[in-house]
Amino acid sequence: MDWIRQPAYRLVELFRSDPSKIVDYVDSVYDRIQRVEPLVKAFITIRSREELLEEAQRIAKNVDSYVLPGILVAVKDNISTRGIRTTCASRMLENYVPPYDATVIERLKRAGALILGKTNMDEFAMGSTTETSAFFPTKNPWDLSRVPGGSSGGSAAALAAGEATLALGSDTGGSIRNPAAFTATYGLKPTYGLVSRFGLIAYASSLDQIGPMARCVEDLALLLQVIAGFDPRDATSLPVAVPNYLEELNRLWHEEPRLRIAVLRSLVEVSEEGVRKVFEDALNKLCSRHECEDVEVPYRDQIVAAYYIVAMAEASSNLARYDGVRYGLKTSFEGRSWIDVYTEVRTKGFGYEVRKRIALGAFVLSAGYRDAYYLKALRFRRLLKEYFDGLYKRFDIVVSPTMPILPPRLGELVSDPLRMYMADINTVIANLIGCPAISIPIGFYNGLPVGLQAMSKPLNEVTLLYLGKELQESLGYANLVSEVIR
Amino acid sequence: MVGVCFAVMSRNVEELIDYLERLVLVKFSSDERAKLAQELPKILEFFRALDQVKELERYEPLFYVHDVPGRVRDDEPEEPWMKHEDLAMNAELVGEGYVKAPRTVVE
Repeated sequence: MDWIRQPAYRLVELFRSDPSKIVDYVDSVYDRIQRVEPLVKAFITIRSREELLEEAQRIAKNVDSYVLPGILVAVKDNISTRGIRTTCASRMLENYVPPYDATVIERLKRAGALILGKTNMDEFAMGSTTETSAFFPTKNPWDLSRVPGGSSGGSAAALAAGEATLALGSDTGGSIRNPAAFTATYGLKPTYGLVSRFGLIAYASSLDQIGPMARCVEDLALLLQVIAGFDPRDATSLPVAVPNYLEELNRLWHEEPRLRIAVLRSLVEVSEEGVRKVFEDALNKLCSRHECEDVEVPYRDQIVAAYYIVAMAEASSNLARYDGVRYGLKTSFEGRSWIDVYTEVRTKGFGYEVRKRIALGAFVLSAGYRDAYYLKALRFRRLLKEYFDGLYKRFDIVVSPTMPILPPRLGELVSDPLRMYMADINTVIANLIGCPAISIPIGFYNGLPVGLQAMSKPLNEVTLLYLGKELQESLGYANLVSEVIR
Repeated sequence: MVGVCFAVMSRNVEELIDYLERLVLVKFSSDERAKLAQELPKILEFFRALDQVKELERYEPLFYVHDVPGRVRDDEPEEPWMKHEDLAMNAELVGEGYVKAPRTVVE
């Protein structure tokens, strides 16, 4: 049995008929990790084989009471896991062990999933390549000289390298969809408020969402099912009933509805040639079945500017909590003032990109500049939301390439911050307006993966999953695992 | 508006970095300062793209994306869901159940 490429939904069926197979599966995935992890470096922390096998054996005894019995899930290292180090890929939290589980982790454990380990990311999720990690960069399993995207690059790379069956990421401006597109995996940023943020280490609270990552659409639906739902511990959690995503997906799949699809044409045109070519091929397939129309995006540069102003402003506030006292990096207090201690800890604990974003965030919130930058960005955010609310009255889905570029080589993008920020243009829209968005693998150009992004109105995740399933079936990009060639 | 942006851009970038360091209590090394001095004006100039949006003033700032108002729970004590010692497990200096912090005033 090829355990590495099996989707979770099939593994669950197998384990229900023969629970003893859970142990074989865990062993196989662990062997795979030992083989490819030195090359890919997707994980910051990996739990021991013994610990996982012990849990697997316990779950195998009662397999019918779980939704995801024994399924190995890689978790981004900004999601709190009780008793497992959670670093945010930062020296600041290098030795931080959370005393509690995030709500999504509680839900995964209740579903019988096994937390495999914690994946690498850009420090505090501030980056698009996983290179701002304080520890090491993660490599793209499809081409080890290139980045896997970010900030959830470790989670995406773990999936593409066959080191995990499911993964959790977080998405503040595309951090799930960007690495999904760069690694030929599936990633979904849910509607803001659908998945609890309790236990997610905050970057920009009005934009952050935890979401599922997988190698096929059905697994995305399955994982979303487990983690979605109201949580009283998150004040922004939406009090809505969660549908059965797999059942709803199957229902739509049989009904075959004809969708109205808007194509963000100017975002296609500014994409690299390889991305454009692969995107147009996939779009032709979609438009042969659905009703497609080109639409424009207003104010492209302004979208990215507004996003970074809001994200940095919220980051400066959220990261003020790192004072070297209650948790995080420590230094001597003896005979020193609070300001000295605080400054030293923050200077040593945060990398350059994090310090820069905190500083810029504080600047745009400071007296004299708040109206000129921060409030202006929030006014633009409403303008953008109203524009997309209007689009969603006319269209079921809005599509574009997920990323306008192919996966860059290590060091290529991170050295040019404005170019790195502009590469987020297609993905930040969904975070600014709070709608759901999916990245679907649609092909390769010169051996490098390309993704299609689809957005929809809030709480319409099932239509995105349906579109994903349609592309998955017509293009055949499901359960892909890279050979990871040195 | 234009006046404010002009003030930012014309301010000595070294002074601006000093100001930012004081504002958020971090330091940049000399190499980092040199890099930041290159990046800051470009980023702030990029942020000014919002000035080109016509009639932006007629839109109310959007802090929160849903119409559902933020919830607050009733102001009643709840059963503690975590032990005191667990909450303080990542603090280095704990005494008598309290976390010790640096002095705010040092002579």
